[in-house]
Amino acid sequence: MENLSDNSISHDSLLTLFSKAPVAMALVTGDELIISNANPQILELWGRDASVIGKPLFDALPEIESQGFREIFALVYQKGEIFNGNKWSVFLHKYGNYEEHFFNFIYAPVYNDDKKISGVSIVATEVTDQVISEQKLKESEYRFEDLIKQSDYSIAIYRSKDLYIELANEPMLKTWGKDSSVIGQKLEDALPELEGQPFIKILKNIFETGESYMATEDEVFLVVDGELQKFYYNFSYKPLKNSLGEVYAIHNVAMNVTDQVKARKSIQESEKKYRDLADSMPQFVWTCDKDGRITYMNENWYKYMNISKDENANEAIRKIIKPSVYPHIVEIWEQSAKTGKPFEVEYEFADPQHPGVYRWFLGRAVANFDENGDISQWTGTFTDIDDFKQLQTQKDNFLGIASHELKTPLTSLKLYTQFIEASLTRQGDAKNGEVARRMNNQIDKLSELINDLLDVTKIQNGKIQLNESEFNFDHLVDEVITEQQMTARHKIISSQHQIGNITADRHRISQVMSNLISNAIKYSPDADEILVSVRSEPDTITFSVKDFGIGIPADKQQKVFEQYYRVSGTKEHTFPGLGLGLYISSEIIKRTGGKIYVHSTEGKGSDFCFEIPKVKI
Amino acid sequence: MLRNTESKNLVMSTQVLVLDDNPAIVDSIEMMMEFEGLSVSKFYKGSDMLNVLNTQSRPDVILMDMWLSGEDGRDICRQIRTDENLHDLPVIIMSASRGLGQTALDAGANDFIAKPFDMDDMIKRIRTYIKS
Repeated sequence: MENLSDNSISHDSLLTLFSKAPVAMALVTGDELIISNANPQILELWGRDASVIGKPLFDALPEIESQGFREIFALVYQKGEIFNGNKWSVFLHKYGNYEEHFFNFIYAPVYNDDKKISGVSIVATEVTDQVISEQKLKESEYRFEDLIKQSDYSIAIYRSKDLYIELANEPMLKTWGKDSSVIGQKLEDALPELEGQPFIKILKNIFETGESYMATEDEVFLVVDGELQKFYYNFSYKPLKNSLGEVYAIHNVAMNVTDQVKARKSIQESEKKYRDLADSMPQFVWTCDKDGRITYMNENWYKYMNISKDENANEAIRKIIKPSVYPHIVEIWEQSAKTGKPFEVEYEFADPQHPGVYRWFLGRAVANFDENGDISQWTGTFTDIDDFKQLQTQKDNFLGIASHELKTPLTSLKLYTQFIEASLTRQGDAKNGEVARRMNNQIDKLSELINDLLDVTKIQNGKIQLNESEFNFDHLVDEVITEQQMTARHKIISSQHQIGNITADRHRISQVMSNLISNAIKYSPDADEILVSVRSEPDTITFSVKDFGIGIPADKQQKVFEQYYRVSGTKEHTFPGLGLGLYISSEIIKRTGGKIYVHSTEGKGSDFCFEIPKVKI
Repeated sequence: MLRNTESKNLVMSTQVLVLDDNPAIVDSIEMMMEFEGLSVSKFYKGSDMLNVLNTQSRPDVILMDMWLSGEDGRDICRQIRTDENLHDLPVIIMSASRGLGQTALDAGANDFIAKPFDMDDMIKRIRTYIKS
């Protein structure tokens, strides 16, 4: 006070300054820290009224004593130190609430004239709002950072146009193949491989435009594990703007979708590969669902049908199938759809390029099954076999005509030969008569070969017809054996039989018997006999021919009934024949409603049997 | 014309009338028939044969081919069957098309024989229709 007096400042002026100053001030004096002055601002801070003036500080504000203030006052009052409190937290009872407040304050010793400390001056400013908002900001920053760090997405923040990496979470660092040392660096320095890629430019541009940038499945080349690799990312660059709307940073969120993209690309590639394959095939390829709805057709099929991909494919196919066979095709298809067995049928489609013309196709489809064994779809083809069919028809016609034509000279040749035989015999020239008879036999063999060719043609055209009549089976067996015995070196031994009458095509059955016996003779060159046996069952007859010849390997036993099949192996060329006999026989027996089969052991011989019903059902 | 004139004369005493467009077949059949003591008339065209049949006396049996260079033996057979004078004339149709036997019988033929045939078999069948 003395100093103040020295400077000629009045006590009242000081009191006025003290009470009017826009800061909270108080003066406590004496060992008991009596509040000797307190301006309205500090009373407001404390939440007390003027009645506290004259009371010891810790009586007026008992709640602060235990908050370290006694020690602080001791420091100032006893040791003469000035104490600065910065954003100090103090709990006060104010207006009935016990709350935390924050203050900046200065406690300074006050000296008396004797230069001794007589009290402590208090200057305080409440900064509670500021501290709380600072805390909130900090919390929100922490939360934000936390959010970024915890995120499964790759997140980074680039600050300023120089794109300093302010923040990059673990996933982003992993994405880059870098560690946290890149934080603080410029993006282009941290990831030099970005040079030549568009990203840096895009980012810098955002500072100009202020507009976000989004990319889906974008290609990014990054050095990861020391190797430049291609990745695919979905990512966004979003500008962070200050209160003036200026971009101060960019928020980058990225998701690595490389695996998904690669997987999809690989599926697409594989699909393209098979699509190209299907499209390049001359055949028509298609798939349909289990109910027959077309799900795919190759290009060639659209081209042939002359329809666009928008049109109903099922309807288009239905329209071009020859109407007369359509119900039959549907029936076969429904059978396949029910059983899952392959669909295979030859039928005619209209040729949309040539109205009125039909072309032959081979339609095939196989079922594809799911893991439960249920049909998931059908994969099918239509193969244009029209040229083949025409050739086949031409071949059949040719064979038919050729065999007919061959028979004409054969007929007169046979008659002339028989005339010579009869003449010579009548003249008593038995020797030459026999020669003529043998010539006649050879003509018969030639005739049989021609008949075989004709029969095959008929079988293939479905034109072979059975002329059924009732006849005595035993007589037929004897007749065939007698006839075969005439030209055979082997002894044909027949078992006793008493079958009686049956109904079948006598000529065709005799043809089969002759074929089995002549085969037995042909394929047992080293044996002397052939055993023929006939057995009667209640409804069927079994005729069998057993030889002791070369036999048939087990894997070939079914093949012998196929067209043009010939004995294989080294002796192949030594046995004559067209390879048609058993095929024709098997077709005749099948059409008679019976079955034909063989038991054979290679090197030991064969036993060929057929079984036919006594009365055709 | 010459052939027709010949035919007319021959038909008078003919037992077997042979019709085939192939001369070698007609010739060889004739040789065999005559060897067997049967009289034969030869025709190469169905229309010629029908003309002669309508104006001359009947043979005992007709042996004819099915395919006759533009004529169908079965049609000729049907014509004979519908002719009031000839309808009961025995007809045997022969053909290298074995499978068509039934169609020949359906056309009214008494018998069908597949080419090439055995002469003994043919003669046996012919003789069933020879009157004397």
